[in-house]
Amino acid sequence: MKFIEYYLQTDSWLHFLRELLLGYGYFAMYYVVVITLIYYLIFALSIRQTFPLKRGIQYNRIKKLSGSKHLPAVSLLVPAYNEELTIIENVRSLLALNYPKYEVIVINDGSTDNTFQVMVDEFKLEKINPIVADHIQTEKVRGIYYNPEYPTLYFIDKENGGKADSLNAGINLSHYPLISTIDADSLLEKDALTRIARVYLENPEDTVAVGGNVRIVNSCTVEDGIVKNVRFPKKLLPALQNVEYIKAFLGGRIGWSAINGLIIVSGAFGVFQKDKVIAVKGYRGGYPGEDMNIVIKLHRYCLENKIPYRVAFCPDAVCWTQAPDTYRILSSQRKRWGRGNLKNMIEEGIHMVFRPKYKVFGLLTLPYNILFETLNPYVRITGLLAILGYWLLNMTDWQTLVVFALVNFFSCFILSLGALFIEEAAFSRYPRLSDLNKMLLYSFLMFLGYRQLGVLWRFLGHIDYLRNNNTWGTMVRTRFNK
Amino acid sequence: MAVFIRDRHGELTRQLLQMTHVIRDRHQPCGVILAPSANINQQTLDQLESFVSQSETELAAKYLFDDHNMVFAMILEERKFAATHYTSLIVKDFLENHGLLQGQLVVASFPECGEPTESTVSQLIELAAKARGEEKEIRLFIEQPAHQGISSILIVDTDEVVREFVRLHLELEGYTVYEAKDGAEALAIYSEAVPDLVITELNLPIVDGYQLINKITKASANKGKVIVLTGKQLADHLNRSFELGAIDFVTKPFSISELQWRIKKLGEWR
Repeated sequence: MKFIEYYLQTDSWLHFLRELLLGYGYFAMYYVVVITLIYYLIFALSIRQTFPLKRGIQYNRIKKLSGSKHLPAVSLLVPAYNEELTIIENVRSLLALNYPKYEVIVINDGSTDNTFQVMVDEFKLEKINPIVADHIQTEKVRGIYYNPEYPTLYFIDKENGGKADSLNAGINLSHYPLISTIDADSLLEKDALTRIARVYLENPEDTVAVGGNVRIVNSCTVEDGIVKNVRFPKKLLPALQNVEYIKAFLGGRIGWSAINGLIIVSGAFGVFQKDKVIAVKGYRGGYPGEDMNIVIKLHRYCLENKIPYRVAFCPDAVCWTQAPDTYRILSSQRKRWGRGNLKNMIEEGIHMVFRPKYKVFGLLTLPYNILFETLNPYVRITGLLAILGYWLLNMTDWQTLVVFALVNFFSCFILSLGALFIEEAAFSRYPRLSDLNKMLLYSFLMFLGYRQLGVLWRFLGHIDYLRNNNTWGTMVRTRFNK
Repeated sequence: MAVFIRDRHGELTRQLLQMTHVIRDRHQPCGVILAPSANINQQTLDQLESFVSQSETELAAKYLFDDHNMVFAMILEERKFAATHYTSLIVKDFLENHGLLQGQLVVASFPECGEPTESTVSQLIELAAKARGEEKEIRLFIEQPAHQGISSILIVDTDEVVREFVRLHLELEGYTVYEAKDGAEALAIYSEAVPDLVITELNLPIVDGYQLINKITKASANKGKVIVLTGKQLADHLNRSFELGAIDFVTKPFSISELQWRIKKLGEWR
C-alpha cells in the first residue's frame, strides 16, 4: 500500500496506471503467445494422426468385425428425462445396431411427461425383479421392466436424480464389463459401436475410456433411425456450432488423445471400463459437466495408483446430435457448460494442476484448461478494458490495434481451416461442394460475434455458479426430420 | 413305321426309353408327342402316318399306341422342341377330325426338356394319362426344376446393396423375388404375397429378425420357411434363430452360390 500511497502523494497516479497497463500488456502478449503455441502443438498432433487414422478407417474390416465374437460385450446406458417425443425411435435404432453382443438400458429419470408410459406400451414391458448390484448409491429405483421379446432391452424407472444418477443406476444393472453412455436425443450410427470397440481392442487392458465423435444432425434427413442425407445445417446457430464442433473434435481431441491428455469424453457417446468407473465411485451427481468429471477422475485414479492407461478418441465413430437452434436454449446450454467446467476445475483440477505426478494431464491439459478455458473470459474482459485504457492514455494508435487483431484473427482462422482439412481429408461426411463452401464461410463468420458470445456465456455461467444456481436449464426436443 | 402295342404293362415306357436313347446316342434331339385317345387300330395309325408325311416329307417318326393306358405316342427323330410342337399341331388336327382325341396333347423334346431318364419318361406318360378329359389343347412338357418347392422369395435387409445383389442373382435362377427393408414391411409383404421362402437379416429396425422369424413360422403353421442371412456370428444368435424356427443360417460376408445351393437343397428336401 505504501507503494500506491507514494504514487498518490507524489501525485503521479497517472504514471502508475501507465505502468500497470504496460505490465498487463506484457502479460497479455505472453498469454496469447502461449495459448497460440499450445493450439498449434495440439493441431500439429491432430494433423499427424490424420493420415494413420485415415488408413485405419480404409483398411479396417468393420463389416466383418461387427458380427465377430471377438468384440467385447457392451451395456448401453441411455438416460432419458422428458423424451416422450423421440425415445421410441431412438431405442428402436439402438436395438438394431451392428454389434454382436450388447444390451440397451434405458433409465427414466423421473420424467414428468409420458416417457414411462410410452416405453412400457410400445415394447409391452413387464416389471421384473432381477438381482441388481449396489456398486453406487442412487435415488430410489421404482422398478425394472423387461420383455423377453426384446431380450436386449431393459428399462429402469427411478426417482428424479439427474443424469449422473441415472447413469449410476444403469451401471448397477448392467451385465457387461464395458459401458457406453448415450444421450437419448442422439442417434448412433449403426457401426459406431464397432468402430469404437476396434479402438478399444487395440489395447483392451489399458484403454479405460474411448470417446466418439459428435456431429450435428440438424437439416440432415433421418429414416428409421438412420441418418440418410447428410447436409450442412441451414439455420445460423446450428451452422456455427457445426464448424465449432468440427474444430473442437477433429482439430482438438485427436491431438489431445495422441498425448493421452484428453480431458473430456463427450457425454453424448463414449465407452468406459465399468470397473474403473465404479472404482472412482461412478458419476458425480448434482451438477452438470459429469462427462468431464468422470474423465478427470479416471486420469487421477490411474495416475495415483500407477495403472497404465489411456483415454482414446475415435473420430470415425459418429453420434448425431441435435444442436440448439434458438439463442435462448444455446445460451442456457453454454452457461451450463461454463458452470460445470468451473465446478470441475475447483473440485478436481486444482488438486492436480502443475504437479509432475500427474504427467501430461497435470502439466499440460489442466493448465491449458484452467488458464485458457476457465479463466478465458476474465482475460478477455480485462483485455477490452485495457485497450480502452491504452486508448484513453494515448498509449497506442489504431494501426497497432489493427495489426494485433489481424494477427490474432489469422492465427485462429488457420486452425479452423486446418480442422476442415482434416474433415475433408479423412472423413468427408459432407458430399456436396456447396456444404464445404458453407463450412468455410461459417468458419469465418464465427469470429464476428459468435465467439464473443461464447465468452460471455461462459462468464454468465460462472456467475450462475457463484449464485448457486444449480438447474439443468432448458432443452426443447424436436422430432428428427423425416 | 407304326408299331402296335397291346396289353403289356410298362411296354410304352420301355419302348419310349429305348428309342429316345438310341436317338440320343447319335447326339440328336428327339421329340415326343403323347395323347390320350380312343382306341386306334393299325389302319388308323397308318392313315395318320401318311397324313403327317404329306406336310412333313422328311420326318422320320415312330407311331405307337398303348391300349393299356389308351395313350397314343409318337417319337420324332431329329426334332427339336419347336419342330415337335409344330408336328403336334398336325397330329392334333388329324386326331380331332377322326374324333379320337380325348384330352390334352403332351409335347416334349429331349434333351431340351430334360434328360430322358426312366423317371422323366414315366412322368411324361403319367401326365398324358392324366390329361384325359382335359380341354383339347397342347401342353408343353418341361421336367420340373429342382426347386419345385420354392418359387417365390422375400429378401429382408436394411442394406440396399445386399437386397439388390441377392434379388438379381435369384431372379436369374427363375425365382420371383420381393424386397423389404425392415421387419414391418416384410410382414406386410409376407401376408400379401405369401412367398415360399424368406431370407432375413436379424438386425432390423422396428420388428427385428427374431420377431419376424417367430411371426412367420407361427403364422403359417410351420410352413413358412426362413433362412437367416446375417452379419451376426455368435452361437447365441444361431441358437435363438433355430429355436424360433429358422431353417438355415448363413453369415455375411456370404457366397451367393452357397445361398443358391442352400435354397435348392431346401426345395428338394421338402
